[in-house]
Amino acid sequence: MHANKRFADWVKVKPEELPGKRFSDYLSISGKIYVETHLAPLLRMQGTYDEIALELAPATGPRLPVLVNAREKKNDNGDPTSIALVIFKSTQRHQYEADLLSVRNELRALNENLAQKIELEVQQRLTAEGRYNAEHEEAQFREQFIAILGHDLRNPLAGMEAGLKMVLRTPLDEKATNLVSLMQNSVERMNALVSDLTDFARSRMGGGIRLQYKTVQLEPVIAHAVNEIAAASPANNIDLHLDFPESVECDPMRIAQLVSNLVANAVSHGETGGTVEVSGFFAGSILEISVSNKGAAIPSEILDRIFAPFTRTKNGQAQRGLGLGLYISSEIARSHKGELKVQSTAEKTKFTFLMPKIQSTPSV
Amino acid sequence: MFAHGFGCDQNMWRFVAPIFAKDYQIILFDLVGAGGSDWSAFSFEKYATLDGYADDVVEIANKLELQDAIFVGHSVSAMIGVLAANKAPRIFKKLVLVGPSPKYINDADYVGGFTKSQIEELLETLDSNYLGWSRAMAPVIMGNGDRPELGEELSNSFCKTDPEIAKAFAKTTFLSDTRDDLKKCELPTLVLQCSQDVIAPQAVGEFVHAQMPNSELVIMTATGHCPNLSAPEETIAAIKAFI
Repeated sequence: MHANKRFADWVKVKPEELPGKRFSDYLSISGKIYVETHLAPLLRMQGTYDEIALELAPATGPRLPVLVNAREKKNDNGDPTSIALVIFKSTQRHQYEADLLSVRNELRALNENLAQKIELEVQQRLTAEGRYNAEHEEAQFREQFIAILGHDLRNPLAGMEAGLKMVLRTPLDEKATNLVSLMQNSVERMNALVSDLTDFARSRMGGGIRLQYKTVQLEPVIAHAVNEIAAASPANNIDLHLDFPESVECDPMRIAQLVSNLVANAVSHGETGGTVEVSGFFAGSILEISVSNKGAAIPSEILDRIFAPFTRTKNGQAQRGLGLGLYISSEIARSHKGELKVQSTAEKTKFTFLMPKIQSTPSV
Repeated sequence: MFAHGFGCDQNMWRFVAPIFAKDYQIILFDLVGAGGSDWSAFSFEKYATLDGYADDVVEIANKLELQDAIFVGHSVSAMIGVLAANKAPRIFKKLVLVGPSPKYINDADYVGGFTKSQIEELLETLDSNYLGWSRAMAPVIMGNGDRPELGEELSNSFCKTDPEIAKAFAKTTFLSDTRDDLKKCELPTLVLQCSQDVIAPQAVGEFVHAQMPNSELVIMTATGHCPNLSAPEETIAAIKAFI
């Protein structure tokens, strides 16, 4: 091998040491192998080969990336005599390539990772969606069923109600009259249950209780509802404090229903023979009605879902109804653009209904 | 049948094979994954060992209904030929092994020519395509004043390869150990050993000769690993003398 001084400098040997050595002596192991398996054959076959990337392995120090152009030299017979190599340093370019490669590999890994994550996410989503859809369908079916049931039960109940009224007009002895009274109570209770069921189904399917707005004085409406319950539970004391100087735009039947529900609950779940306080007033632009009773606090796990449908407590008197009362009351509150709240401690349990006085403005 | 080794394709034999065309039927082929073979047929599982390639040789021989043929294998294909001959003894009657090596890594008192870390370095280089060895080279039409016999061929295509396949083939080749298969082959065998061959040093050629019961060793004056290209006349002469 003959080489110029610069080459000697690059491989860190003295120029005098070069003759007798081979070019591949100064290459890394993979370079040596590459020369024998690729470079030399190619040169023999096509005579030139450009832009070969190799690494020089100097006597000391780090490897030196280079680019090589090679050309076979021949004599007049066409036999190869020597190979001429032009060598360029390519450290910068090499570093640039290495950086690019490493970024590319990182991106590839990231991409794959992302692809896997996305696949997993999609799977999870689809499963969740599937489940949700199935549940939703089931719920819809249930609610439709309830609505139909409620509706279909009304007719026979109406029939019984009318029939019993007519029977009362006929001559009856005391026993018969009592029995008819009991039956009327039962029919009334059944009607209430059917109403609750229908309200429930309607509110779930149609989004809220439908209201029939009237502008009324609320005091007599609430007083009437409270008195009905007072009459039925003489052992309890119901303190009524109402202050509604102006008329209010609302659905009075529904407000009465709400108050009835709250007061009935207070009577049945509060301290036996205790006092139930009912108050109603305007606080600025808000109308507030609250019902409180003394008695054991409502356990927190029930408190959490107290306004949810079909929630009932185990204490208090015999179970009545389906556990829809508070749910329907809270829906009534919502339809009036208001809300129903509860606070319960060992001293006092208080339910508060709030709604905006002016119903045509946006909700509270 | 001429089999090329690691690096290029059947063009490695272009100065040697035609000389025998007068007296013999010449069979040339590209290993799967090299040259003009169907690269999509390359299977990483099949070619993880040299047996995969040996099976291909047997398949070619059977397809062509070869019997008592002469196998000439270069570099790693020399061992592929030995394996094939062991699998199907009747297809070949003589073997010519040019620069063979049954194991490249040194081992106890066996000299393969490379240390384990050197081969690891090589494989790592291929892994990161560090030197761009196996980049898919863009073919360039050579306008050939210089080598008229090449005509208008595509340059660089001889050693074009797919980077993944090159990596796999290098791994299979340089990590192979077929020393035990040598003594099983009793066919008359010519071992052609070059001087100063980095890839298959003289100690290896001597080992192959010692292991194969019916073999001859010829040490050539040619240097380097590819005497079929760098010293075709000497190669042809040695082969002629043997067959």
